[in-house]
Amino acid sequence: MSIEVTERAVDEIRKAAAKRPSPPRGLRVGIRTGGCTGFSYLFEWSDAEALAEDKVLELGGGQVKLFIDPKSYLFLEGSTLDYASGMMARGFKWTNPNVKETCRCGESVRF
Amino acid sequence: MPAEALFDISEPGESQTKQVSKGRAVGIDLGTTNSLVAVVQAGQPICLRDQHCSLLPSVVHYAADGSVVVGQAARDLAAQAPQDTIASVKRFMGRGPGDAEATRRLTPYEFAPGGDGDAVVRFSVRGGQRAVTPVEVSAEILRVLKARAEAALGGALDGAVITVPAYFDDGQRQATRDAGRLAGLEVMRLLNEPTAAALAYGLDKQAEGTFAVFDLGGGTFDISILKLEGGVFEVKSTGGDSALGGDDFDRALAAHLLRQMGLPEDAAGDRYLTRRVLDAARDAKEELTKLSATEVAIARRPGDIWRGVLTREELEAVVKPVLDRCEPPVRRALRDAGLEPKQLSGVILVGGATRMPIVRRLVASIFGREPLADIDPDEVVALGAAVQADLLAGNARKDVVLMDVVPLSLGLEMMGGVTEKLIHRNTTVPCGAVQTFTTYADNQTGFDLHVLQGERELVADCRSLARFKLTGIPPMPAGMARLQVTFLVDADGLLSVSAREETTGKESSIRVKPSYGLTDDEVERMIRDSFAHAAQDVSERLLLVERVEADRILQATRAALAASADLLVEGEGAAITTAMGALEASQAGRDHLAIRAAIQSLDAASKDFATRRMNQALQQGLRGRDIGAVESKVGK
Repeated sequence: MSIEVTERAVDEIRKAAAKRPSPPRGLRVGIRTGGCTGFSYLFEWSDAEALAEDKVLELGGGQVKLFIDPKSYLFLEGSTLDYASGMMARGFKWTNPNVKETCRCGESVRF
Repeated sequence: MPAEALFDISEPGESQTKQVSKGRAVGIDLGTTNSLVAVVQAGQPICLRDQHCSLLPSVVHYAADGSVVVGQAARDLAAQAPQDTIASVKRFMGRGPGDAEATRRLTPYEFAPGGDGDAVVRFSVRGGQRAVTPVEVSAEILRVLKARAEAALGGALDGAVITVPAYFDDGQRQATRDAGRLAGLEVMRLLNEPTAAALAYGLDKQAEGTFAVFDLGGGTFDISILKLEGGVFEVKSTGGDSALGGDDFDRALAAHLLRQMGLPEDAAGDRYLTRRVLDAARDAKEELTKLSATEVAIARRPGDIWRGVLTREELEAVVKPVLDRCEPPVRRALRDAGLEPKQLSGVILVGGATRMPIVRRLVASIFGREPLADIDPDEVVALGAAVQADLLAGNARKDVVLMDVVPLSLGLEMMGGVTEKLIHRNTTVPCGAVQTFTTYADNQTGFDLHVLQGERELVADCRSLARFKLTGIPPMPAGMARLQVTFLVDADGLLSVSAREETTGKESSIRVKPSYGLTDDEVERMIRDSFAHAAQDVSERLLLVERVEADRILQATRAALAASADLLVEGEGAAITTAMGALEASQAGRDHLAIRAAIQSLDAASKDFATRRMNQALQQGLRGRDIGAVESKVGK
């Protein structure tokens, strides 16, 4: 199993990175405890290099790097990261088979 | 599959913290009378000397030719050009022109007329050609110390720690910082002088204790009571006399010598004679620290030399009335800190005047113990500042973890023994987090807050940092109280946890130093363990959380059944009991999803019953209020 990132998502991450005043070293994604149902997703630029224990996904020919800590990796394995745009909103979207329940706002999840 | 939310990428938490490169950092004691600079070399702090002396008189002379003279040379010029020679500038730091205390007492100076709303005092020098602020004057002193350090270390400095009196307010501290910046120093931190002295003695390595720092300098006397807890010094109280110091001893002794010489105490206005007598008095005072008698020779006028012998007893009799003024502030500071002298773990001597045997005897008699005096009392503050600077510059001692980022996550214990992280590992300091919690049980009147550090999911596997309570919450149903908990980590790595119950405004808080007693190796191990146990920890957490939830629902259901059995419809009670039994059975197992499913079944089985109970409660609530209103009319 692994984590899949769609081309669209890679493209959007690259575009967002280019808009930053300084290029990030990577994008940290993961799961953190907290939020209404216990866990929530993390999407944050990293100005520091990946930590030794991180799993690093190099995407788009090395242009985009995802840093994932090992604990989060447990929850994200098998997931797909996509970018979606609709009438109301646009943003990154996880499709995560490990998730059993989400809260009403959708920002936090249960496993 | 429920709809998933869409996310944006966020910026990492505050990444603005100053990261000083590893290297040369100095500690500076910017004193009222003298200033010093110190650095850690080969693990030992040492004061840097200029030729032979480490003390730089804190005096700045603005010469007519536009040059600036600092130190002993400036002090020598003070008598000739009092208006152009600024001494004791520290007393003016952060003071406004309207600040009578600062501007009225010491008045050899001309003050430049300030415009309306002018925030700072300005000294008018060079016949009014130039106006300088206390910050600028202090910066001149700092420039000299910086140059001294750069010459000794052979290169530019990476940063400095400057000490300030514990009682300095924000304005005075900011002015000190500004002076450092103006002098081209990267001010990594301002450190309280008594804390610096305690650091020089390595007292921070003790587990805890309360210390008095007795600082009798050239012109000021400060007493501070410090409390050490968890590696953090907190100033409990301060006191002192800003017009009492070693110079007063010199003046008292000079007056005594003049009397012996058969001259009036003001030396008949002869400034040069005054200077000579004061110098002789200071020399004699220093001699009498070691000897019991010394010879004094003073030229009354060229060729007419007076000779006499001065004993330590004479000196002590002369200075005693001055020294006695130290005692009341000490007693007050102890009282303010709520301490008896015998409760102190130690007393530290700071300031050159504390070398005098009579001062040590006084301190020993007040505190009932011998003071710590192994480190040169003139240098001890600068040495402590150097220790701190060295740490901040990254040349850390092996036994201390320095924080630029939070090295381990910080959180709270939740029901069931799981850890809720509020601040995550590797967040740059300063940082903070707020989270709201509620009560678990009906009529719960307090919270036990257990602050934890670590990456593991279970409390048992994390490091306990502190426990505190928030009590006095009025009884209310479970889930009604709103407890807002704030975690703040400041630039020094100090964690403050405060808890506030929103409906009552009850508050409680605690401060800890998370890095206290934690080595790099331990941090490393705790992080490694969290990865090694990741899968197991997470499943354990999921299980415990569901078990707690199951307990809560079972308890609530039992209470509801006991209170409102009359509201049950036929067969409902049996269905609920069956669902409860199933939940209890699943709770004993280790499948968190099975527990959750059983919770949902119990919810479904008791839903209508719960609705009826709610309606009844609402009606009773209304009725209750009517009765209350009636009673109050009838009864009183």
